Amino acid sequence: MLFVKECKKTVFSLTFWLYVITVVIMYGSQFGEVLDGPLTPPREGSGNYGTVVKEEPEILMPAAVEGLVAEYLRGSYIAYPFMFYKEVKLSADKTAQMAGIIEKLTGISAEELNGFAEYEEAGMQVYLDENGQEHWEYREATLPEIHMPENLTYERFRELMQEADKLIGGGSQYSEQFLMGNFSRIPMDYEEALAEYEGVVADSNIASAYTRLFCDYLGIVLSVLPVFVCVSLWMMDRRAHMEPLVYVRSCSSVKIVGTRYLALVVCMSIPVFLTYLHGMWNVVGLYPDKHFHWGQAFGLMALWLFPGILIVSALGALLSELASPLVVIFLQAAWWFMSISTNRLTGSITKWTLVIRHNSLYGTEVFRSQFGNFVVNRCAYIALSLLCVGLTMFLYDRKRKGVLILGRRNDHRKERKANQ
Amino acid sequence: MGQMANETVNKIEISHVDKFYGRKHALKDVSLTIEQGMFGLLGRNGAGKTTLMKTLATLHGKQGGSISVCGIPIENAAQIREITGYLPQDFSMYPGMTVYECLDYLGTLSGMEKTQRRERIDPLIARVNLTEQRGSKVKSLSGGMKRRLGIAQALLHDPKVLIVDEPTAGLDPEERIRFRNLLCEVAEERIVILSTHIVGDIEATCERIAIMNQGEILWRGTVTELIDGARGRVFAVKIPKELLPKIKENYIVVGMLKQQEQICVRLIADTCPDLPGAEAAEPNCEDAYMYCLYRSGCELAEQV
Repeated sequence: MLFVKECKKTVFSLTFWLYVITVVIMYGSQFGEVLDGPLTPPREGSGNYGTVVKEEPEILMPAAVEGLVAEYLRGSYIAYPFMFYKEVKLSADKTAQMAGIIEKLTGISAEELNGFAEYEEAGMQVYLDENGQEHWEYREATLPEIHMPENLTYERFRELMQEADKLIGGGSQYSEQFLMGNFSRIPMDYEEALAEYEGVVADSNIASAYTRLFCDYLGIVLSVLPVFVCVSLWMMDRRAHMEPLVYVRSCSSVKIVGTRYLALVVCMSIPVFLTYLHGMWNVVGLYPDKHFHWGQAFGLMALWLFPGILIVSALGALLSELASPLVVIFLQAAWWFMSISTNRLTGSITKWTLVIRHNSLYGTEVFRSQFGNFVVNRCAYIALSLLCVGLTMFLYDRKRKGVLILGRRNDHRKERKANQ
Repeated sequence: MGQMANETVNKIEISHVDKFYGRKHALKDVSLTIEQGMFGLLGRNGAGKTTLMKTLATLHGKQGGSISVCGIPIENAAQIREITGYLPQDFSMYPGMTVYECLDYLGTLSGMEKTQRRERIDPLIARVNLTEQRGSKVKSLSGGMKRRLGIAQALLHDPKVLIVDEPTAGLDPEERIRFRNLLCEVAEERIVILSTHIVGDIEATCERIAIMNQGEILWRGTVTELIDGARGRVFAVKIPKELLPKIKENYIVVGMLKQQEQICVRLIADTCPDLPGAEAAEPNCEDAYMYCLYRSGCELAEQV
């Protein structure tokens, strides 16, 4: 059976074992830590119960406006256009437009803003105590007094934030994607922290909470590592000079590409599945009295991680038909890097996030609030994977018939020279 | 009627085939009929032999003309692949797989059932004299062994047509003879097309041949006809060493043998050269091939 033979080829490759080792190391070093002991309830009176992102206009609006004024006075804006960090400096014309937005948000005119001489950037500041010893402390930016107009509604505020984001070029702190997470974080009190703890350790949630954290860690490596295994396997025929022997077989291109892809995905899923089983086995040991909802948790793990393996492998296969291995790996690594460098640890699941993060056993509500995005995201990647595999089949078939000469231009030039 | 159908079924018909690589005309109006047995395709490097082989193996498309293999149009690649075995010029196999595993894998890709593969592979390994290497990894095989493994993979699904491209290049004389004999054996029951630039291989194995140059078929027929055509055009003469440059300027020299202060030269000319002692010689296949190129106006490489 071709599938078994393709699986053997995968399993006997060095890159596959490097992949397995990396998955196991990631699992052991990151997820292993949370298996040291069960979650403990918050201690009353400890004072620090963490923060939570809540849509509280009274907190969000002044914080975001202050942030915008501070960046205006500094003359540069932090943004992540195309998911990369960037300091944006606006032209004179756009600066004037930004001043107009700030005036609408604060009532402070452009002249007043530009004439504000006491501005100092936020940062660490050293001071000496009575004994003459140096101390460092964080100093807030010195800003003009801000009074937001009483008639400024929350909706109008969001519109103005979007306008500001557009002026900056998108991906700024005021964008839909980052606004809440940056400016609407509020400290929890004991009751809220206790409620969150009880929510996590509830029978219906606990398996999902640990599964989310497991997927968060494994998702990081599974969004890039499969490309190495895939490229190595996909280039095997070429490296072994075996392409013509395979091309002339009667097996259809759909079957060859489909079976190879399936074998890759199945083989790469096995270590993920086994580490998950190991992790959950340990979680059961931590909470012997709990009744775990395994179906829900396993479904979450499958929907979270397997589309990552599917899309990275499919794209790797498709690009391997079109370009050299280095180009394929570079493109995948760049996509992975862009995704991971712009995601927050929790609560930034968009419809196209490659590396989905939720680096906490808590935050069930935050995750639930983005569950729609999560499902759309994963389903979209499954669909995209199928499209990539279909395209790979088409390209492979064209190559077999000598219609398409791509991806190894030098080889073909040599071949053509020899033939002439 | 039945006989006519059978004739079509056992032959390859190539009619006015054209193939371009960009602006380069790689196959120019090629027409050939190839019947059961060994058929040799002879030509210099770059004559278009490999292009024609690859086109027949469905690895290249064509831009004009028609090809049918045992009655199946070449456009029907899936069916052609079922009845064709191909041994390319440059190939290898997964270095970490054993001889048996490689054949088993390729057999699976040819749609062979497990039992069928088991029945076919071991006898085939024995036939190509690789029984001792059955469990050896491909990376440990010598060049000759790899070639034999190559022919085994091409014969694995018992094809009606076997396309063999430059199979003896790089083999030592013993291995080459063994390989040629093997090809002759398998040609008894199928069409075998052997492409080569080594005239000796053709002479030893093929009855019918075609000579290609710059994408065109220069000549087709039997080896005997090729040799007959050169009869009376090949001459041998003993000349002093100093005369050799002049002889090379005026004639196509196909052989030289130094004998003390004299050189015995074998040359091609339309009439007997006006040289003392010059006499007609019995042409061999290589002489006849060179004469064919010369007669067709091909620019022949300057002799050393």
